Parts: sequence; C-alpha cells; structure tokens
Amino acid sequence: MSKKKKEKQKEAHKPEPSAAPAETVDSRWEIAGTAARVIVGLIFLVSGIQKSFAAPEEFAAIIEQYQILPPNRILLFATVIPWIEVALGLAMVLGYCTRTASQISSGFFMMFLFALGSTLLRGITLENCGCFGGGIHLTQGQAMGLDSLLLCLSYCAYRFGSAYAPLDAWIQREA
Amino acid sequence: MAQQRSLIAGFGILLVTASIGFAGRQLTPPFQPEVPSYRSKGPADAPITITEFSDFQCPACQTVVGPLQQIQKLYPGKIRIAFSHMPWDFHRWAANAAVAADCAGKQDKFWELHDILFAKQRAWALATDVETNKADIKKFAESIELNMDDWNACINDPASAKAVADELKRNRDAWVKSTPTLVINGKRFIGSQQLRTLGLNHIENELAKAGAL
Repeated sequence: MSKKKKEKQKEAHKPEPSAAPAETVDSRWEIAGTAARVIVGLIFLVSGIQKSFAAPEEFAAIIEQYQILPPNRILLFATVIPWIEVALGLAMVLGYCTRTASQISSGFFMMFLFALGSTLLRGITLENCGCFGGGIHLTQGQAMGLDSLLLCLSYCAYRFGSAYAPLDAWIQREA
Repeated sequence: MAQQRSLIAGFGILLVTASIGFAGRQLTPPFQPEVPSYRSKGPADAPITITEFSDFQCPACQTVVGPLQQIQKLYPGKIRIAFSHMPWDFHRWAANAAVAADCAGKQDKFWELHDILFAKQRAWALATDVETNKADIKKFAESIELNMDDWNACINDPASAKAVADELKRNRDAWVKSTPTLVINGKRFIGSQQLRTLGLNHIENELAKAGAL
C-alpha cells in the first residue's frame, strides 16, 4: 500500500474535529425527564378527557371570556382542542415522538400563559381558567403557576425524556 | 421498518383519541330534567323548553335573566322556562339562596324571589356571616309577602337543603359543569353570549320545525 493511501485511510478514521463530544446524561436526569414526560402527558389526558366528555359549548363559554378569538371560531376551537390534548397526552405518556410532543406541549403552555397574561393585563377576571374545562376551577394566578411549572416539565421532558420512551424504543428497535 | 412502526403507533394514538371522544359524546346524552311545576313558567305544552341550570350567587347567571325574559316576550306562548339548581360549593351563600327560593316556590312565589335574588345579588352575596346572609334573604322574602311561618319552617327543614344538594349532584353527574347552562330542547348553550347568538338560532329552527314560527 502506498504511503499516500495509508495517510488517506488514517485521515478517514480520524474523528471529525467539528463534531461535538457525545453527551453523557446522568441516569437520574433520564428518570426525572421520563417522570416529567409522564406527568405532563397525564395532565393533558385528564384535561382533554374532561373537556371531551362535556359539551363543547361549556369550554366555548370559557374561551369567550378571554376575548381573544373571533366569536365564530370559538366553538370549532373548543371542539378541536380537547382532541389534540388527548392525542398529545397519549403521545407523551406512551413516549411517541417524544421530543416533538414535548415541543408541542411547550407551545401549548406558552399559548395558555399568553392568554392568561393578556386577561390580567386587560383587567378581565376569570372565575374559571378553563384548563380542565368546567371540571376543576382554577383562578388566573393558580393557572399561570401551574402552566409555568408544566412548561418547565415539558422542557425537562424534551431534554431528558426520551430515554425510557416505550413507543419510540419500539419504533427504533432493529427488526 | 421504523417508518412503518411509526405510522402504526401514530394511527393507534389517533384511534384511541377518537374512541375517547366518541365515548364522551355517548356518555353525555341530552339532559333536560323535569323540575317542580313552581320552578317553571310558560305553557306546559310550549314547543320550546329552556332549562336553566343556575346559581343565584353566580354573576354570569345574572346576565341571562334579562335575555330569558326578552325571549319569552319575543315568542309569546311558545317558550317554557324551567329552573334547576346548581349552587356551587365555592359560592358561600348560593345553597342558602337556592333553599330560600325553593321554599318561596312552595308558596308559588319562586320567580318573585328569583328575580329579587338576582337583582340584588351584589348586596347579599357580600355577607360576611351566615346570620347577615339569612337576615338579607329574609328581608327579600318579607317583601314578596310570603307566609313567613311556613317559609321559616321550610328553610330550617334539613330535607329542603338535602333536596337542593341532591339536585346539584344529579346535574353534575349528567356533566352539567358550568353555570348558567341553558338546555334548549335538548341542546346545551352556556352563558348569555351563546344564548343570544347560537341559542336564538336554535329556537328559531326548533319553532320552524314545530311549525310554530
């Protein structure tokens, strides 16, 4: 083998200088991330099921109080959101597309925080935030606290929640 | 292979979601319970029955009182309004008010006390103790010339409070979770905004169906 060829082979086996060193995650973080993912998922499931079982008009009436959406879109929104919450909750609990599901759940919590914050700024008092439909009544302050906590948990699920994701593991398993 | 499994898992999640959604619809059929006759106004054979699930201490419930009266005037003889109690636990005096109104109803003056309780809601809802609350409501009862002995006996009877509590439980079990909920010929509407928009449309459609428009 020529010297040139040998050098070429050596080069090929060298690690890429720009590649970041593999991240080693403490297993405790992985457990915490999994717990966060399951908690967020269960909360979405409870919330979505509560709303799905009640008439959509109930949730629509709560959304009306936020005065954000045009009135002719509210009932559609109130019908669709609970289904998305149930699907998202199932994906989080079962560990399906974990990182995407965590990103979507973070988006949801940011949207809720924006909506709640805007009612506070506009001086609108809500008797029920609607987080769990007509089921569990939370004030704006309580709901913002819960949503902030869940946003942190979603981030934790995004970073560390993929380790024990049963569906993702099944999808990626070698045949 | 991974793509196939991903599709199967995604489809499974959607299937479970749809099953939960449809099961929810099956478990919450139209609910329009009968109420005592003194809690209903309008002809018994009216083509439209509006059942109002309401709480005397709830500010949103106050906002449907006017629109409901207007609807009855708009369609004379065609609307029956029935009232069902939903006194929330977090409204401190709501259950007392419900019992008081029911006891007035037994003397056929439910709607008189109903109107006063809603009109003066901001005043009596602010009571800081039970005695003040009872005194406020008693004043309203006196103003509509009730037989006060019978009314006092009724409000102090534990069976009156139990009847209201049982009604609340029955309504909650039927997934009535918000006040004011207005069930118009089996279809639910929540709050005055929905009553004045979707609710009125539904009334028009139901009247047209019954040939009563």
